[in-house]
Amino acid sequence: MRRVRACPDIRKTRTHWQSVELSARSRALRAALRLVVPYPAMATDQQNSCPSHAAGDVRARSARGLLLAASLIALFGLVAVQARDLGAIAPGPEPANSPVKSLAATCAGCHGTDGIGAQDSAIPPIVGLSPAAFVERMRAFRDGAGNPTIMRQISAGYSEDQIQALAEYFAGIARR
Amino acid sequence: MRRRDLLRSVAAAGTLALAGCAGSVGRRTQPRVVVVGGGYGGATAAKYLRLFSDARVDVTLVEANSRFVSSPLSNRVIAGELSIADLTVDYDRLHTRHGVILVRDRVTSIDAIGKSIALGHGTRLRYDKLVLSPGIEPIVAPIEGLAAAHAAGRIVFAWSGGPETVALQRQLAAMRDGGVFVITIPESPYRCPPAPYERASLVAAYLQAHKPRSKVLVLDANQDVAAMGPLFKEAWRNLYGDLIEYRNHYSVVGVDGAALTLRFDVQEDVQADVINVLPPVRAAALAADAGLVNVNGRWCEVDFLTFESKVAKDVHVLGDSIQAAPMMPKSGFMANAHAKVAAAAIVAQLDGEPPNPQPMLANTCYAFVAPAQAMHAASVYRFDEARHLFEPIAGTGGASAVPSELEARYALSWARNIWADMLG
Repeated sequence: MRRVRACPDIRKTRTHWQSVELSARSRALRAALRLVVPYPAMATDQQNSCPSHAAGDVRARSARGLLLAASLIALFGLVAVQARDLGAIAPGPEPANSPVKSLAATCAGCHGTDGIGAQDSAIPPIVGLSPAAFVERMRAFRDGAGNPTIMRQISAGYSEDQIQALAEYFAGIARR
Repeated sequence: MRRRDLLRSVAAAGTLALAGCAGSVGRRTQPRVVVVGGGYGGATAAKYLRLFSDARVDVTLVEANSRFVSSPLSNRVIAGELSIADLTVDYDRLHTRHGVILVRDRVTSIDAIGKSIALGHGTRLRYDKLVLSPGIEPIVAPIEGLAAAHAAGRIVFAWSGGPETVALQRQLAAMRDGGVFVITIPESPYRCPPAPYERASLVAAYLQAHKPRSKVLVLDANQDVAAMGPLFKEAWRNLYGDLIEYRNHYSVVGVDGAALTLRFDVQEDVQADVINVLPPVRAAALAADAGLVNVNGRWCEVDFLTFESKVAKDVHVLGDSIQAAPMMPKSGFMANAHAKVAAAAIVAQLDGEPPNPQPMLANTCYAFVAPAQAMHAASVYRFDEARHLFEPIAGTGGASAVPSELEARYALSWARNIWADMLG
């Protein structure tokens, strides 16, 4: 089995449980940020690289972090900055026991730990997709398109915000 | 990568592994979780305790068997399609990749007050948290003659993957053409609702190909097929015709191992060439001996948010041995799901944090109806805070429309992926 290194997530959280349900305001802000700072190119099966290993991507992520923090403070006044190292150049380790990790673990029973399955698996891996592609695929399942067997029944159990969180989580996982 | 590279192997049971990890800087001792049982629940718990704690929690896994053998897919071994080796996985990656200390031994007793367990070879292991995933044991005594027939090897259960799986396959291979294979099914709840019907299907396929004058008789204590009933019955009609016969409301009260005869509470005796009795089951003896079995004399009651036993503090119970909430089946997949919720909750508790208030479970049971045809039943659960238990989410889950070759491929891939998720 290929080894996995979790790439740091731009949304750092402390170990305090936070709902993965995003408020409408933060969703709008994130959408706005994507227009300003393009999301780094996602690792594909072939590239096998973690975005955080590339210096440029680290800076891009940190830039997004700075922009996020600045925007939040500017727009909403006093905001509790949850991230440990927003603004740092080198991202710290991802919190291991986060809500999104538990959520992602519910996918692992079929798709493998961190969405990476065994070689030649008929069940596809769920890493290596951009967040938009992941979200689109889950929406297609819920609408009855795509996989004709099981994913419509499973995907219906996850909210839009949970799917968005999973999309970003799995996009951040890369293979070595 | 850092923690995995720095682990060394451990000589003696109970010794802390050296775990050089940035997360443990400044801590001289780490909390220790002992996991008992290396099945779908325990192996998953051991690995995820390490993942969710970033190796800040020491984990010891105690398991009597040297290698993991899966019960799911074992029906395909019984039908001669796979070998037991195909279902066997080593434990060593739990140690080499995740730093789990592996102890091969039985647990003889649990001291929940003193927080230690006693092992067969004489060691005691202290714990801060104990995770018990001990599985089930058959309830044999009420069925007259069954204990003796089972001890003599005349009747096997093959309800835990391993030697009995192979034994049943051999019994079928040795059966004469024109023989009768009988499988008896206990009342729900039992481990893995579709499994007995899958077994009947695959044995029918085997007999149809190799001993076509034989018969499969399914004698079910339940009112109807307990899982995917319409799908199984249609598959039997389409694929096996009158090679399979299904009868409901048959409760076994006695067996004669020598004469291979079954006695029932109401109906006439049935004699067969190969008899596979599936007795009712309950939580394994270890859980009962520790006083954790407090529901109907069979199951362990737990707090579903954390899987902590309602009887013993800091003891968490997973898998088939728990008193499940309604609509929560007993399955390997569920044990794997329980384990992740429990692991996250335990790490949070050890960190002095509240557990995740919104855990989720998902379950998928794949069942074969023929060597290359399978179907599934899936369910997704949310945690209901008011009732403090898991509930199926409305509008989710369901079964296949029809069995298919695609799902047979999915079933095999599912097995390899979940074994990697548990043990890799």
